[in-house]
Amino acid sequence: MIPDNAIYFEVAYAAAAIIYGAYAVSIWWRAARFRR
Amino acid sequence: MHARIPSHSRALGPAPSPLWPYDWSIGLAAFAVIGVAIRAIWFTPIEARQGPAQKIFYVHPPSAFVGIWIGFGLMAIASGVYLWLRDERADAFAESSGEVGLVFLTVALITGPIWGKTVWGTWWTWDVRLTSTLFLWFLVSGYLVLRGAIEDPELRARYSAVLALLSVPLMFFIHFSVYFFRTLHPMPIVAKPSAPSLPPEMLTTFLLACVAMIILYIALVRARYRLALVRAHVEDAP
Repeated sequence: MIPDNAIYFEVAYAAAAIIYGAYAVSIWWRAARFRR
Repeated sequence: MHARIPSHSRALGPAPSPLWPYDWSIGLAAFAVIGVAIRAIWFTPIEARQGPAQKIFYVHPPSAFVGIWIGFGLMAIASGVYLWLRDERADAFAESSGEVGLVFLTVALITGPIWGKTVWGTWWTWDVRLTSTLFLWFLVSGYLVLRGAIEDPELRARYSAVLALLSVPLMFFIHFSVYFFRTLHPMPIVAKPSAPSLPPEMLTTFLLACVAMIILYIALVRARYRLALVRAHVEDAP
């Protein structure tokens, strides 16, 4: 019987998306600070 | 004897536009990462013993591989090039690659315990593989903190390049630790001398995930390198 643990990979994928996305935004934000 | 470069930013070339640090590569990276996620979630079979949680395999090892061997590896190589040639472009690249590599390793250190909870029954254990990887995370974090603490560009580049080179033995130690010590962390199932121990569908998804992560690394480093150039020109502005 296959264990029902999909929530773990869903949380892991969401965490990865948030971290990569936040870092990409942080590069844009730091560049925008220099523009100001 | 190396010629001293009179202006920090002059050696880095013309300043790029600070309006938008990204180029076409970020679109390609987003397409590749989202495509691989769709393939991993809906078009790759579920592993019978571990269940759907095994799909963390398509984000955890690729993030660790890109963070350590590409991010920190190229940081160390660029640091060596800087110490040899005193080329400030190498220093700017080392900083960019180290910072992006740290983001990838952060993802690996967060997704690993989530996977560990399902297969080991614990979020974390202080075994050699996990502890040395955490130590590498702190070492590269210290590298970035050091860079932020030194104002003189030449001193900053020289000290941080030495620190970056010190991470190289730890990278090899982490990779071989599963062979030399008893650890909960499994041995490599793809990067090993014999054939990968994976069904073809899973192996294909895993290799595509590695390619997607490499494209994401390239896109982020290109943007971060442009940011380093803009910052150097702003720091040198009268």
